[in-house]
Amino acid sequence: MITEKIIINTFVEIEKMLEDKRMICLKDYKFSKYNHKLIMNGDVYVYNAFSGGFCRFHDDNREIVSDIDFSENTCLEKIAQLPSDVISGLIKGCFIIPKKRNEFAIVKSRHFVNRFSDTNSLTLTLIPTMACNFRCTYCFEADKHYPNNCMSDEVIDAILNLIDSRLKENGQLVITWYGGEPLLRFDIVKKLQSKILRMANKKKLTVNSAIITNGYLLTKEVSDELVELGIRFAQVTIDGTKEIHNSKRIAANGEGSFDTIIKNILGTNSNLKISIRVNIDKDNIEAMPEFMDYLVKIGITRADNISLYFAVVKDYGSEGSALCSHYTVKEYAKEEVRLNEIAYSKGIYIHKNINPNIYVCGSLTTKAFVIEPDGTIQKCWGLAGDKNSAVGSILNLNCVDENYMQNQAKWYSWTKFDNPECKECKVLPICMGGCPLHTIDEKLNDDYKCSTYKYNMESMLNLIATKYLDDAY
Amino acid sequence: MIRKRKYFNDLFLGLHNYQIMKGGNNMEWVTEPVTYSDGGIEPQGCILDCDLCLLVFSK
Repeated sequence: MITEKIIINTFVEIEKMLEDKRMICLKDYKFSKYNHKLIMNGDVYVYNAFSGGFCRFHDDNREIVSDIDFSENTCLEKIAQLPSDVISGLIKGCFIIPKKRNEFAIVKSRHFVNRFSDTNSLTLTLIPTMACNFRCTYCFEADKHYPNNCMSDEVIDAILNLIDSRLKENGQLVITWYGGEPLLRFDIVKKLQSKILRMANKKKLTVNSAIITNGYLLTKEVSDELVELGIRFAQVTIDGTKEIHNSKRIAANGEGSFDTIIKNILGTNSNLKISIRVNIDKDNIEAMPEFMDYLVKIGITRADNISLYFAVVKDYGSEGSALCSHYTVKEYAKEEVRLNEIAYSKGIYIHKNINPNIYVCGSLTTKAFVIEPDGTIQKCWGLAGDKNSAVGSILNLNCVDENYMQNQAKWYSWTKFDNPECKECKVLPICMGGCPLHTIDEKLNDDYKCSTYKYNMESMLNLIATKYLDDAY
Repeated sequence: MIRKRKYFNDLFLGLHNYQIMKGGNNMEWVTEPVTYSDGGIEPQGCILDCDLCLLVFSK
């Protein structure tokens, strides 16, 4: 009893002492410029784009935090009225930061340090063939006419040499199979992937492998083999209901592809995680609720290994682009929220975390390359088949070519940290300047350089908070 | 700077434990920060976030 009293008195004394100190210490703090405040059903939430922390304040503090703006250059005075655990949480989440800290400079420096440092990692996008068994209306590779080429043994050996020379023991290797349609040359995928795994085993490399396929040839047997080869992720695109999908993603023989893809997805090995990508434009958006109902009905959304996400069809200026009713990023930002809300209301889990990034795309680093069937090296898979954009050839890595050097320079010197709009943008730590291709390639529409979060951050946070509350309470 | 950080850790994290003992729990994380309060970033499955990336499961 006596001991308890002593402990309680001690705590009261400590608390009093800390109350005084806290007032002094908070003078050295300021609000982060990357805070986003949200009020939902009377509850106050704050998200910080620098840290990715997203917190909810409890009822007792609602009155105090409702009055706090959480914006840069506003007074911290009211923070002192909050309980100490809240203040420690605000520091942990970088909602309040030391006055001396220049967050923009930190975002910028960690970007450059990581972008050009040797992290013993390599990301390769491998294209076994540019041939494709589809003729999608909006395809950005359409201009290249899907040549029926394939990766030679010489290129395969050169890729293995590159991995061997670039990665030391215990390195990290990310492989993405891409095309054309990679499963048209599954023999090459199997041959090279097996060799990569043997090398990885010898050098104790960690390998993460994925495939981007239209799903037409993704039978149960193929999915079993992919899993066996360590390829555990597949992205398959379905663009809506049967009628809409078949009008956009047409097989090369002119037939629709919807039924085959659905049958394949439902039959795949459950160890192959499938991400269904739904490309959105103004032509298919209104059919999305019906499409989502269909996915729920056939049980795809209940499968643990299948997830769904929406992506805007960007204008790449290709032949097919003219046939497509594109959204601008600003327009799509609104639709993205609507689509996610509809999906959530139908019980479809949409993976959506809003995390800060170090750089938006591996293409900007010296650790990521796209290798075409003839060994041409690109920095971005959006340029696959475009020889004018090549940055090298894997068959002659020592070749000093003026075009290669100029193209490399575009990627390695790319930065948005000197852009006045980006400097002030509250979502910069997430988008990190946006898609570089849309500013590097002058032919492309630079409307797509910004992230949708620039326009829909509050609504997307609202959705995440709703899901959190539904799960937690 | 290090001393200052330690001071804050002592001050606030210590008090955080005390609040829990008292039964106080005044805020909760919808998503935990991935960046440390000193600006360093927590290692994740993949640090890239390519627009077309399908490796969403690893993040």
